[in-house]
Order: sequence, then C-alpha cells, then structure tokens
Amino acid sequence: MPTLTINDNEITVEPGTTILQAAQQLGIFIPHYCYHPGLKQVGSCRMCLVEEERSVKLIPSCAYPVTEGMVVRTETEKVVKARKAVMEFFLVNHPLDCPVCDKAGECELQNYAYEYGQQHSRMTVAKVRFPKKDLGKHVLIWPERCILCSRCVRFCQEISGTSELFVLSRGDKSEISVMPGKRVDNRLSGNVIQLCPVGALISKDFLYKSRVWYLKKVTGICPACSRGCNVTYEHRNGIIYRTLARLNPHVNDYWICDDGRYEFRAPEKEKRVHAPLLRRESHLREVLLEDAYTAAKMKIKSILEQHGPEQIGGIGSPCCSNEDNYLLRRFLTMIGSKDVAMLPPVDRNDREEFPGGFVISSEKAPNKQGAAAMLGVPEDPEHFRDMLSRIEQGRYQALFLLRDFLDLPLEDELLAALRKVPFLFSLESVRSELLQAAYCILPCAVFFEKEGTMTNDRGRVQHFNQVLLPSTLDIQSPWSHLAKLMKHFDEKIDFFNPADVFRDIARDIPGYRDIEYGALRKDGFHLEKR
Amino acid sequence: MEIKFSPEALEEARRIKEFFTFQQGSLLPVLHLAHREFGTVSDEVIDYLSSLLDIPVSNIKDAVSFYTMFNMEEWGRYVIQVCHTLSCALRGAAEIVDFLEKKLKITVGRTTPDKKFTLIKVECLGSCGTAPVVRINDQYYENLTIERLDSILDKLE
Amino acid sequence: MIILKDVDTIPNINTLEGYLQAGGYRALRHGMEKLDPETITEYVKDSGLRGRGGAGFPTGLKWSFVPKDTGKPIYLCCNADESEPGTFKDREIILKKPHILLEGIAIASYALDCHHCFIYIRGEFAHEAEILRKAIREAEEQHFLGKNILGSDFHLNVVVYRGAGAYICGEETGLIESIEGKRGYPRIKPPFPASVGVNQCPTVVNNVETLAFLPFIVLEGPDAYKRFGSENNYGTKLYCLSGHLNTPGVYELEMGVYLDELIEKYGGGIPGNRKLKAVIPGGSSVPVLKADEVHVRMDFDSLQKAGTMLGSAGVIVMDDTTSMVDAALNLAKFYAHESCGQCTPCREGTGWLVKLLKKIKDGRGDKNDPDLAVDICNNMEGNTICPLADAAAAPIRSIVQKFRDEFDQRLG
Repeated sequence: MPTLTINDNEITVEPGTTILQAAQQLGIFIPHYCYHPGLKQVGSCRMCLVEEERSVKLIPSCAYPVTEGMVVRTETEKVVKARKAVMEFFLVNHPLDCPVCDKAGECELQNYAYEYGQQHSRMTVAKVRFPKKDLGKHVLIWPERCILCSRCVRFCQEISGTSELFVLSRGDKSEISVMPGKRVDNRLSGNVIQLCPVGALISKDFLYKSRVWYLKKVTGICPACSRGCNVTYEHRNGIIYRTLARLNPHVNDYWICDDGRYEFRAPEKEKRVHAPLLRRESHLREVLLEDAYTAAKMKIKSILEQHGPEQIGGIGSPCCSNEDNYLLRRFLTMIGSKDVAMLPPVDRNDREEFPGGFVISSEKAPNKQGAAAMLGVPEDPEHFRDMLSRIEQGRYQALFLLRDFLDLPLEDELLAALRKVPFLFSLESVRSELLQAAYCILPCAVFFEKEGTMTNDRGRVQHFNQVLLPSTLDIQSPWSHLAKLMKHFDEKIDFFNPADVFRDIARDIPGYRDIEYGALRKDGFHLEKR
Repeated sequence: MEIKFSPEALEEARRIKEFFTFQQGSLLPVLHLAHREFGTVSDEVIDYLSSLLDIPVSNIKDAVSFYTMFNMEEWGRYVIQVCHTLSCALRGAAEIVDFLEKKLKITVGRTTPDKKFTLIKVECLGSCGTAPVVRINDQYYENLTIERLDSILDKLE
Repeated sequence: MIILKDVDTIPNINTLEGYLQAGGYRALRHGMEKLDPETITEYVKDSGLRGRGGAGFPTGLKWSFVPKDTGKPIYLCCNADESEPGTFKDREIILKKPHILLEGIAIASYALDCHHCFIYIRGEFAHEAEILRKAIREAEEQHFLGKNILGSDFHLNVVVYRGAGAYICGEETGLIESIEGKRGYPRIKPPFPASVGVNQCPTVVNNVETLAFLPFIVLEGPDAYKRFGSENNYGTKLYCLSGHLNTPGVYELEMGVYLDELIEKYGGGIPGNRKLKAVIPGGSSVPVLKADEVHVRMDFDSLQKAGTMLGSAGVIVMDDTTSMVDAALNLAKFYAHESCGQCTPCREGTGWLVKLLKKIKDGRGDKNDPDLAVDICNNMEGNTICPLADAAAAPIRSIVQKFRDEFDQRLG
C-alpha cells in the first residue's frame, strides 16, 4: 500500500492506484480529458500533467501508478504553464462553435479553457476543416470539434466490443470515423455521446433541442428492463429532454443502453387516463375521485357481505413500484382476501451481454423481484397461470388490477378472462381495452411521475425520484389511490408519502427488514440471500 | 475484379498468420502482401482481409490509414515518389518536381490519364548522401539529374 | 575502422562467403564458446557502447534492465527504421556488410537469452529487406542463425519485419506497436520495453549500428573498442554527410572528429566555393549550428556542451544560398507529416508551425510571428508522450533564434 504526498497532503492508497485517482481521493482536482474511470487509460491528452519531485519532465497523472514516496505537486508554476500550453493547443483547430454547439454549458473544453487557459488566441492561420458525418442511428459527429481523446474508440473496443469507431489518418488530419456500411448501431451507442468531453459526438435525439442550463436534473431508475440501471432525467416545462447514465458501480457502472436512453419519455397525452372512470348503466363515466372511492368502498362491502372475501382478488404489476404492490396486498389483506398474483413480465428474448460486462436483460419489467416480494408470490409465471384459470372459472366477483403501460399487452386470453369479472377495478395509466371490461378505472401516474423504490433482478433495492408532475391532480401513484381507499375503510390508516409506505415494507417484508428509505438514495441496498 | 489472394499468396498469408500469433501481428506483413497482389488496400480488400485474418475491419482501416505506403485508392502502374525533405531539397528536389509535373502534365498527387504514372512527394527516403533521390515503385534512383531522370522515365514500359 | 572495415578491399564481403573470408562469425564463436552471456553483457557495459539510434543510451545498461525470470520469452528488435532526415548509415551497413548486423544480433540474443529477433526495417527499403532475408537464409544454412547455432542448443529465429512509411515507428515503443500490427502510437514509459514490450514480454530495441559493433567488442574485448574515441564517447561512428558538399556519403571515423574537418576533409567542402551558412549535426532533430560554431568535436558530450546533440550523426550542410526560412518550413512539414497525432501538443503544434512558417515565408507574417514560433516550440517540448515534439522543436527554434534577421526581413 504505497504512500505519497500530493500538495503536502499525505495519503496511502491501494496498489495500482494512479496519481490522478489518489488526488481525487484527497479531493484535489486535476483537469483531464482522455481519462475516464470506466475505460483503460491512455495518457494522450496531456491535460493532467503534474510535477513529481524525482522526474525532470512533467508526468501524466492519469497513467502513472503511485509508487512509495512520490511527492507530487499539481499547482506549481511549471504545471500551470504546461496546462496553459496544452489548452492553447486544444483550441488551435477547434472551431468557435459555442453559440451553436449542444455541449455548451457542460463542455470540459469551455470549463478548462476558462480555468486554465489563456485569455487571447494567437492562432492567426487557417484551421483544419472536416465535414460533419452521420455515424449511426443516434450518433452524429462534428470532427472539427473533436479533441481526439479517443474515449469513444475505447468504449467501442472495451465496453460494447463492437469496434466500429477508429482513428483515420494521422497527425492533425486524424479524425474519428467508421467504415462505410458499418455504423455505430450497437445497443450501447448513446454512451459515446455522453462520454465525449466536447461537442463532437452529438445526439440526433437532443440536437438543438435545449440549452443544458435550462434543464433540471432528477435522478431515477431506468424502467426499460429488469437491470435497474441508474439514470438522470433532464427536463424542462414538463418535457423530459434527455436521459443520461448515472454511475452505480454495483449495477450499470457508467453506462445505459439505447432503449433506456431514448425510449420511455412519455406515452402521448391523448393515450393517458386523465380522470377516474366509473361504470354506471353500462357506460364508463368520468366521476370525481371521492365518488370513485366511495362507490368502490360500497361495492366491496356489498361483495364481502354477499359472497365473502374469497371472491375478491388482486393482480400486481412487475412494472409498478414496491410501494404500489405492497399497498395492493395490504389492502387485500385488510378486507380479508388472500388471492393475489403478479402479471408476468414481458420477455423480448433479446438479452445481450457485452464484453465490458454490461447486460441488457430480456425481461422488460423493472421490478419483478420487488413486486413478487411485496405481493408475497413466487416469480414463477405458473402462479399467474393458476390465478388466470381461477378468473376464467368465474371465481371472482371483484378484482383489483395494477397495470403500467410497460406491462404485458392485453392479449385475447387475458382480456377474455378479465371480462368475466363483474367488478374489475383497474389502476392504470394508459387507455386500454379494459375500458370495455372495467367497472372502475383509477388514473395512475407513469414511472417518472412517481417516487418510490424498485428491486432489480440482482436483488438491489433502489430509489427513484419524481421527475414530472402528472397533468391532473387525479392522476396519482397506485399506492396513493390504495391508501386513500383504505382510509375509507379504516380512518386510522395514513400514508402521506412513499417513505411512509416503505417503513411498513421494512417492517413486514422478509428480506427488507430494517432498510432505511433515506439510505437508498445512494447506490441502493443489496438484499442478502436468505 | 474479385478480391481474392492467389494460391501462393494465400499460402504465404497462412504462414504469416501462423507465425504472428500475438495481437494483430500478422496484419502489416499481410497488408504488404495484399498491396502487392491488388495494387491497393481499398475498402473491399479490407473486408476480404478481415475475414481472412479474423480482425475487425475498423482495426485494419485504422492501421492502413496510418501508414503512408498503403494507398487506399488506385494508383498508376509506376508510382514516382520524390523525396523533398531537407537534404534532397538542398540538392534540387524542387526542380525535379517541376520537371516531372511538366513532363507528365499532372500535378503532385495525381495520376496520368493513361494510369501509367502517379506523382507524389514523400519524406526522407534514407539515402541523403546520394541526393536528390526518387523512388519509383520499389526501386531507388539516386544521384539524379534531370537528364538521367528523363531517360529513366522514357525507358519504363 | 570497425564496422565498415574491408568493404573496399573485399568485394563480396556482402555475401556470407566474403564475410567469412574477412573473419566473420569468429566473434560469435568466441562469445559462445569462450565467454558466457553475463561476460558478454559485462564487455558491452565496460566498452561504454552507447546507442547509435539517436538517444545515445548506454547499451549494456539497457540490456541489464531486462528481467530474466519472468518466464516470458525475451524479444530483440533491431531498429532499421532509419527515417531521420540526414541519416543513411544503417542502409550502408545492410548494403555493404549485412552479416555483421546478423552476427551482432546473434551475439546480443545469446547474451540476453533471447530466441526471437525482429529486424524492423522501414518499408521503403524493400531491396534491403530482401538482402537481409537472403543473408538470414544463408546464415541459417550454415548454422550461424536458426537452430543449433554453431552446433550448440542455442537457437534464434530472425525475422525481417517491414514497416510501411511512418517515422514514428523508429521510436522504440512505436516500433513495438507496429510489430503488434497496430498504428505506431508510442506508449507511455514507464513501463519500459525491457519489462513490457512486444506482446507484453521483455523486449530490447537496438539500432543497426549499435548491434554491428558487438562482434568487435566481443572478439577484441572492450579495451580495444575504448582505444577509439574518448571517455564516455568511445568507439567509432558512421557519420552521414549530406547537403551542399562535394563528396557526401557515409564515413566511419573515430568518435570525436571535428565537424569542420568532417565538412572540409571528408565531405570535400562546399561546391562552387560557396560559403558555409549552417550545419545540422545529428540528423534533423537537433539544434542547428551556425558557420562560426563548427569547430566542435562530433561526439555525444561535446555537442551537448555546444547546445546541440550528436543524435544519429546525420550531418546536413547548408551553404549561403540556403534560405533558412525555407529550411525551417521544410523541417516543420516533415514533423507535421510524421506526427502520429496521439497527443495534443505535438499533433496541433507541428501543424500550427507549418502554417505559421508558411505565412512568414509568403511575406504575410507579422512582427510577433517569429517569437510565436519559438513559443510554440517551447510549449510542445517536454509535454508529450514521445520525443517527436522535442525533435520538431529543437531545430526549428534554433533556426528562428540563430537566423532571426532572415525571418524579420520576410515580415509584412
């Protein structure tokens, strides 16, 4: 475990740690471009040069492992001069595109030029020119802006393993390119755009859409599959403009797939259920929320009296949060019903494992494990099949169904079965064929309008935030509707926020004992196998 | 023209591949072989070599575009490479270029319409003591004068 | 002298037959039968042999960095990339006496416990590559290379590996990257090739001329080598004379000959009785010397004291018809063309220098431009992965500084 001194601060580090990483541990920032913690280091941008006592030349701190007794200085005159020099070289051929470049506001060239560069340009000769190129389904490149840090090339070699990008030619004619006919179309392609420290690699999806300083950032969990990759949503005025990968070393490292990045921004407004619907005289009519709850309570009470709790059941969703599913079961338990199952997740059979270790799961439900635990059911789809046959046999007078727009589509078999239930209470977000079958529909929020927790396929409980507000006050999380419904049965029941619900989850659900809601915000919590 | 090695070249490529088992070690020798066989290392050639050597096409193109001796387009039958670095420049490289441009009626970087000659300027050829030096295909011509160069060109078929 | 001895008297010394007749491969036999690897390495250290590729690093010391106990094969790479402007000595050795290189390789391999050698020869030397291949075959037939060398159980496989037109592949880690089939991007050192080289194995990269000295050192002993030259600068050197001279060419002389003597006596002086203006003493990557600075010994230490370097000893002579602005631009173009582009200061700096110098040459320069050129050189130097940026900075800066009035005259 070597010990070194950086700017007179001593630190002992793991063998193999580089000087730059040791500095980061001390909270000392060294500017850099080509270094990225998720990729192999190359030391080629020369921005991270620092002074070390035993070396005559400045050394690149990202590429030097710490050896015992190193004395490093990061702010001496020599280092500052070198940074100014390197910064000037970066800007020699870089076009003055800031006013029209998407990266402005989050561009490391801008930031470091401001902090470490010179005030005036001495470049009085023509700059090197390159044409813009379309590199793939999501990726454009402006090669004039490229600083040849090679992060994108390394990503394609090490993480996605697809090697589409390479450096063409040499010297200052070098440019990032693809072979004609072999574009960057792998399922992780969006990551190279996020990796690019300047505005060279640009997202077609985000091009010219918004200035980044207008966007508000909210952390969340991607709902596209059961891996539960960590993301950051950036939004403004009720629209999510961009989804970025967020570091979680236990789940997804620094990456997310293109599905999570570019899809799932929102189902169109027209498709949403905006208001509570209740069937009166065989037509579904919009009602006030209170009336819906009251009607539901009365209907349930009457069924309990006439038929008993065995004839009321519930189906939870692997695409809804832990809180949603937990309160469904809690509600059913409260009214004496034991029959609950879980919709099986959609499986697209497109699982892909990448050489860098990233996996895209074929199960397109973010909370299968969590929902199953909350509902107290096995994950095996057989269990749902049993429930389905009971429904088909007409065993239920009433059924509570949680459904998210990511869930299994309503195929004929399922729809026909649900039609048999006289009183179907559906908590869903998107208008579906259930409009013909349901007795009562409560409008629900989609995943980015909710806050809560989900458990990924490797047993990690993770927290996600609300990004956008639903368009009406009636649209709420399923747990919120269920909590209010339960209150109609028992005045004492109060759940104000997901943390309240989670407190009960941590009390009741085996495996979730004693997990603190607040502690989930950083990296989540890994459930031990019992 | 179908891109495929002759049986002899294929055998040589196989021997090279067997010998260089590390990284992409077989690539440069095989690229030289391909250049000899096809006269160019175009994208089609790269596709062919990629399946032959089991190396991704982008890795091959990466290397090909780095090294100046592999041309990616069609060149003439005789590639005239005039050294223009300091020692040769001091001994008349510029005049040689002028002479060649006038004689062949093309500018540097171009090929004659009958595809016989391509004229390019290259960096130091490593024979500065016999400057000015011109390399035509694989052959060095040293201690050149305009007259000697003129007659050399006239003799080329 | 040592390397080019007998090339004028024995006409077929470039064949195995002629080489043997001149006493070839006796050193190898002596080394393998009378000495052992450690002693050979000691001889090389003792002789003070310094690398002839340009850096002048002590060869014996470089060999001693190789760990012998890693279990990995050890590679020797003979650097025949010879692309430094003004340098053409390795070609001379290969054309005139290829077997001396092969014998040197065999000796080095024996000392290093190495069984694979790549001769990395620049792609343009197609003819020379063939010569080497033929010489290797000849040597293998007679067991001077290949299996069971000289009847022992030592075997050595020597392979000629052709480059393809990149000066940067003469840098030792660029060379290794090229052998691995990639673009010749130099690597960050440490780790040095001695620990991590070809295919992650220990590797030694030696220049052709360096290896060609080994037979003499092994057969005659280090003291015989030290009879030539002076302390720290022993042996002979193949000096390459080019540019404005009457008798340019390669001259093997005792290390430390005076530069003016080289120019007048061996180079035959300047044609047409014109005057000397400037000389680049060590291949184009070193600072230039003015006409009044040429009374200096041509060895590593003397030239360093004089503010320049011996480098590869490629002497380029410029007479008074030379425009130094043109010379600077010519060299700038060379380095910009050869820059690999991996790291920022060199990639952008060399390109910028070309455009700036062209601007000055065309008469469009403004008064700060020469200072800017010097500043660019200073900013490139020392901030890059490999010394190409330093190699570009050194001559150009020295030309601008020493011939400043020529630059000032061109300004608009």
